[in-house]
Amino acid sequence: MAALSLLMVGINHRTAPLELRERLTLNEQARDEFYRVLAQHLGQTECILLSTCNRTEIYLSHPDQSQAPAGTDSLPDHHDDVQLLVKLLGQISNLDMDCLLPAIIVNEGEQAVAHLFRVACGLDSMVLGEAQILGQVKRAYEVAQQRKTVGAVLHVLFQRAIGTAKSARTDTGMARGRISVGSVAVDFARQIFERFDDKTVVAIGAGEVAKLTLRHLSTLQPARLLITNRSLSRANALLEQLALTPEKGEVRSFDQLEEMLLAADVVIASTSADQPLITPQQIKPLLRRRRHRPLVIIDLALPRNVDPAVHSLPDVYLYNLDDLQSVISETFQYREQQIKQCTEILNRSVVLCMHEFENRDIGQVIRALRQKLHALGYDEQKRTTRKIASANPQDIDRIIQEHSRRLINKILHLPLATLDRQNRLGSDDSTAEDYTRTLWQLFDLDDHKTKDHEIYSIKRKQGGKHIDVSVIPSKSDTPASSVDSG
Amino acid sequence: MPEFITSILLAILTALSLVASTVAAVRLRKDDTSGVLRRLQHALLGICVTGTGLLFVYRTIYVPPQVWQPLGSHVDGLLLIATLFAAAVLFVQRASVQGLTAFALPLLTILLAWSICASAWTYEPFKIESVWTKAHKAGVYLGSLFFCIAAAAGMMYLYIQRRLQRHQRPGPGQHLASLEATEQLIIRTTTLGFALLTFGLVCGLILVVDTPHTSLGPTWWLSPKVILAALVWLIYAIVMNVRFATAFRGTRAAWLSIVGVILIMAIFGVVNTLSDEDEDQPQFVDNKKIEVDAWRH
Repeated sequence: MAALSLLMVGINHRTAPLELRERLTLNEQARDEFYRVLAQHLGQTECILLSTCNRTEIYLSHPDQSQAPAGTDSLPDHHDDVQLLVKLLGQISNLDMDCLLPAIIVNEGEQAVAHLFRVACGLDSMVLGEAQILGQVKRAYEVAQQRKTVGAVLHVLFQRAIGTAKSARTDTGMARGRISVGSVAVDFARQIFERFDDKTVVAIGAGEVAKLTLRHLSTLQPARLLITNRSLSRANALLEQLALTPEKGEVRSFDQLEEMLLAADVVIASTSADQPLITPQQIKPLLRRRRHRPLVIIDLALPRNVDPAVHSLPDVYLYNLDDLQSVISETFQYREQQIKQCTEILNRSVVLCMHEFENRDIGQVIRALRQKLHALGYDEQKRTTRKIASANPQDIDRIIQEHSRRLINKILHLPLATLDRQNRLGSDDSTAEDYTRTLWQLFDLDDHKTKDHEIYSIKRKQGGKHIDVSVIPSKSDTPASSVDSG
Repeated sequence: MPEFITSILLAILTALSLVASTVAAVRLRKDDTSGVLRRLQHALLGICVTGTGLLFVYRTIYVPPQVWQPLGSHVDGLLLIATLFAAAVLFVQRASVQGLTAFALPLLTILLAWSICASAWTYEPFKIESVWTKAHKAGVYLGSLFFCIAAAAGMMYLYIQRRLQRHQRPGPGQHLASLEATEQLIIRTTTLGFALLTFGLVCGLILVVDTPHTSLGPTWWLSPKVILAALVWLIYAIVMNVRFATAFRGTRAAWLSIVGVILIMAIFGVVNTLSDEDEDQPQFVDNKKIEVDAWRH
């Protein structure tokens, strides 16, 4: 059976600090560039890039290596691919290789499959069991599909990973509870404020992260929600999705940020801006004007939207993605049982998926065999039709018998000739014996059945090297003849 | 005999309160998934509240009526504060500020330990002659009760804030109230305590001015007790106005509520220390050793 050519190279929150992950978070433009450069270097290689705030992972599969001939059970050598991908990541993020290499993780074959399953299920997430990652995996798969970099291997892999993650989360109860990044952030806000019906929430950014967080926050019914975004239409769309009345929700221009910060009690920043949008210099003059009301800033963006120095200001509580780590460790204990069940489901699914990859090779063989036989049948059918058109009616039976004989001979010619050649040439006849045994098994060539059905017989000379392969015709057919191509 | 029993029971209650404080402190630092620590803490607190209450009733019944009266001696006053404090904390915790008992228990331990000392020193009743003395004592003792609650809330505020600033979830073993709720409790209890303290001090002032020969002497306004009492009043005056003076909210209010309680204890200590040296006590009759409390009336 051919070894699965699958490689995963990347970094995640376990191996790389926030500063490094920030640099490696690829925006749309960087993703395009990545796919383009990768296509230049690796041609038809299947590839999916998964880039989130907590991980940047590349899944790679070589179609030619996946169809390696039988008997090559060892894993394909991916050393060059790993080097290329690391180099590429370094170039795109302007990172020194010395910084990058210690954080790089590499998984191959079944390990890579298991890793993706864990990622999709949220078991590898910073906030354990979070649902957001599943959407991000789906999105990465869709983007790669649009770029036509998904082939037979990655298609099966990602489809199975997404499907398994969905069912595992539902079956084990992982889907229940407040465990997304947004919900944990909201829990921090609730630890500072007792009530929200007199509070103002400001959302900077109107993307998916902002939407999820605001959904959690809207259950607390804040007095006012102000949304600002580079694209006001997107901010308006988000406001509509949250179903807020004009008194409760409002879209503001980004120019009014200072005014919004003055009114805000909770700020949620989740834009894709490269530079910090909120700095200590901005906040400091506002503190007195805010009458020292506490200000909670939740920075869910990567690169960070808020300068970390803001946290040192009095009455300001800043939380970024890494700050959720402490909550995760607590969550881990509470969810231990669910994790155990989920891991069991994932392990079973990984085995099934690997089995599917193996069967995928058999499927390809079957498809190719069918195509070849159909082509042979079609050629013979054309010849027979032509003969019947110009033949006398009494010759029709003979023509049909000839058609059958020719077709069978054509089908069996190559395999039986190969078997014969192996038997004649090889001093070690183990291959010939293997072939013979396979044929006995595949065609169910039992002596008893052969007599009963009177189809074929393969006579094997016991004790000798030579195997005489002949086709035994039916009673009504012509005498036995040696195989030829017809 | 009642004094001996009181001392023994106070010692037991103090020990139980100390154990409950330790359990509460462990719960603040460690996750309590099994709930054993929570149950233990609640049981100990329940015993303490019930115990102090029963001891108070015991003293009501067994101490001769002509001697005992509420706030009649310092040990009874402290016992009353401890009972009301524990009950009030339980009520506040259930109503709005979860986790307050963890911070109130050390204070309860101090109050009970203080009661042991007071019971050992002075079982003799106060000489309460006028309505001003009664009003003064009631105002000051009940004011102190609210200040104790405010101080417990202040400690809780500082703890939660510190955890949040370190990006940690406050109290992994138990849910703690929000900063906002804790700050509101500080403000409310301080406001109530301040009103009662002001009332008590005004009554004390009237008492001193009206009485020609007080234990404080002719220059009573220079006595440490009066100066410290004025200082405490001033601190609470600031604290209770923190909502309007924006510079004194949150952390500052929490610190001031703690400092205020420490000063109240300091006044008691100073007054007790000076009591034996204070020679002119003409208004107190009998040859008994007259109990001296924080307010010395």
